[in-house]
Amino acid sequence: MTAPEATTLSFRCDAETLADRLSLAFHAAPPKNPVAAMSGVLLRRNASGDMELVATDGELTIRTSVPAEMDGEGEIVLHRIFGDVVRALPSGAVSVTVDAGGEATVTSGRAKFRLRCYARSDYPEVPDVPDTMVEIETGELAQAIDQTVVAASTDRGRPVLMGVLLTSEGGSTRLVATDSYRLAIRELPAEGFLGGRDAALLSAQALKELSRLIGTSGGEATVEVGVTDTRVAFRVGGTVVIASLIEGEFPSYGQLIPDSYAHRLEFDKAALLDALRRVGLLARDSTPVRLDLSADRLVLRAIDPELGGEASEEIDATYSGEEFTIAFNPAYLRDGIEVCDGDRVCIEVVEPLKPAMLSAPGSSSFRYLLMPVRV
Amino acid sequence: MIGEESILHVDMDAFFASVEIRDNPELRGKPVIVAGLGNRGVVTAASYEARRYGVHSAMPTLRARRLCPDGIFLSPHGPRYHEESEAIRLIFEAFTPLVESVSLDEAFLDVRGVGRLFGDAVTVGRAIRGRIARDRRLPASVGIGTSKLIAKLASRAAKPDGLVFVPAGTETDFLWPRPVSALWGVGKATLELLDRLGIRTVGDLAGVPLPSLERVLGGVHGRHLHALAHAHDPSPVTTDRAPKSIGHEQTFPVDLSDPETIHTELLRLSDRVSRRLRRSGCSARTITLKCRLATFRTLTRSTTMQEPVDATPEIHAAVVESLAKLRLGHPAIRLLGVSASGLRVGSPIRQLSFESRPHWQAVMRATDRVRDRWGEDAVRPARLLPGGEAATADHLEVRRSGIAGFSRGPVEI
Repeated sequence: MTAPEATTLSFRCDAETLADRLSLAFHAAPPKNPVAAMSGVLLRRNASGDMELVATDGELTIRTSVPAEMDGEGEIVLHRIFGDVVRALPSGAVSVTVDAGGEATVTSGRAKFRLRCYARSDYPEVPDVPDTMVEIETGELAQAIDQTVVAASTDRGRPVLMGVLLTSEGGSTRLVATDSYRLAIRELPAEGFLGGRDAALLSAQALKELSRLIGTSGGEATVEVGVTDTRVAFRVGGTVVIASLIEGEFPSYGQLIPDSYAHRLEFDKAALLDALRRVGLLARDSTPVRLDLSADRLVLRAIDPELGGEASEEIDATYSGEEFTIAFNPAYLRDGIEVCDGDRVCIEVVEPLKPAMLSAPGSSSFRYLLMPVRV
Repeated sequence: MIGEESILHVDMDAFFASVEIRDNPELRGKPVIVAGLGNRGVVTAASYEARRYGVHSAMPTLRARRLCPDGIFLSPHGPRYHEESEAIRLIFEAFTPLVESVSLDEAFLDVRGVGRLFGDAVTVGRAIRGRIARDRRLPASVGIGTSKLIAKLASRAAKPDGLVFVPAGTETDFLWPRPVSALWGVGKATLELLDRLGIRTVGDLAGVPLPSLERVLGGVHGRHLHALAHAHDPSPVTTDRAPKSIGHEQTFPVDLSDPETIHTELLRLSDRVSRRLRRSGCSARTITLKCRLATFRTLTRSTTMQEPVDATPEIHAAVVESLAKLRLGHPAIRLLGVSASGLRVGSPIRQLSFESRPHWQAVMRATDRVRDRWGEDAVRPARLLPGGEAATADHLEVRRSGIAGFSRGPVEI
């Protein structure tokens, strides 16, 4: 921590609210960032006179606010331990004063902490909220996000696959994500997300935060969205999520979807997830789970060659095709089944080494295409 | 898992006695008894000549002396038997990685999947008996079947110095005429109990309905014997000593500095490692590069793969990447090593991807077949051919060998 610029800032607010907002903001800032200051939090006064908290990893930024009595001006950056400190304080008011020497004093009741601030110049500029924000109904947005982000890649070497492609056509919006092993597609009967654009590749991480915000906002009926050439911003209540748009060509996924399927199997979602949890115990280290399909039953099977062990469980299923075995990575299979809507799930297969499609019976709004494992 | 005739039980005949006879040929043809010679000693091995007098292992030595007064009594040479057992195990491991030692003189082997290299189980059984006879000059009996139970009883039936194969589907024909005492878990008490009920053969036992057997013997024991009597023995051959790693390294007569040459040598080492991996039926999660510089500084760098691998190009790619990460600049390399660890039994399981990737498994299978038959040089990466450095590792060349059906010149795969 180098010598900070002269800043004097003090504020007083409710400790519990501040702790809550800090942990929300920290979603955007992982604890280990090569730039130490960026794992911390920036505090400043916003236009409406409240205190704004900002956290970022350089790509994703969360800006949220807390009602506070504020004095002075400027922006200060505190170590993330500030979050632990505030969370540990007794309920009631907390006061923070930053002196010209760059030292923050946190007091609450009879507890007192002194923390050194990072130099403001060690922290990036806070991205602005786009000038034009459009209000849209949340509707099934959070669900649509949850259904697609599971299929997005977490491999930093494949940035394009870490995104969710949003395309808008004829009054509806389509969300698509793939990590090259599975593909999730959700049609959302709503438009306006893209501010007149046809398509945008949004960070799955940012969408996860948006979904979480919608979930914890206590049922906000609307969110605001703004898209520019380089970034997208969502505002829910007093919190803004800003992310860079991902550049690059999203795979042309249309050709991956089989034209038709040879067999179709329908089963109870909860029964399959329970069986998968048990059988999956013998599918360690991404060894596959085999699905043996035969007349009106489905047998899940895992073989662990190291243990010399085997697990199997049968569940009822509606199936009328010939006997058929297909194997999947258990985690990918579970992800797909969990995000299907409703109590029953249907799986359609072509042949053991071709992709299989998961969906809710009778609904075409969500599809999850999964590549099998060669055993 | 069950149903394949892939389980071998190899049992050395009168092991300790046979070792003594081999090392002292004058004993051949005589009743040799290896035993504790004290007052409370017991017989640990008896040659077949001694067995004719009624001597068998675990019998008190004093009683053996009474039965066979002319016997040659020797005290055991433990370390020598251990050494011998170790040497025999190496013979087994040349055929399959799945070896389960039961004791110094017997082991179960699972030869599933080695057919391509060595032939079916009977061929492997014969080859193992041949190797033990030739290299160790010792007799061994081999039983082959679909389960450990059947293999074990078959080796007993094969003794001495024989081989018995029980084809799939004939297990009960083989099993039922045998006395119930042949089954695991039938001790003295159980034997007496069954005898009182008139159950003498395994066939008799198989005819008893399970509920009755459970009433007589208790649930667990009853179910166990019922299963065995019907030739159900699902216990797998579990290897007690899986290899921890497979590696090759080479010191070069002249230090290497040309990047192309380094890549080529890495490919040569990767190819050897991958071939041994596949031979031992394993795939590896971790690939390690070892690099000793002219200064004798030794650097290593490991890559953990997302999925286990066993193909030459995958291993080569991993070590080339590791080499780049070492950032050696203009190195003078004295030694290179490639090793595979984090081994698991079985060829790699592949999560298929929407993106098409080379199907190395099929290529490796095909080239293994060619090499098993025509030698290691019959087919190899083009880069490893003389003057082949211009080629990429993705090209394989079938050597002009005049073998009908192979194309001449480089084949792109």
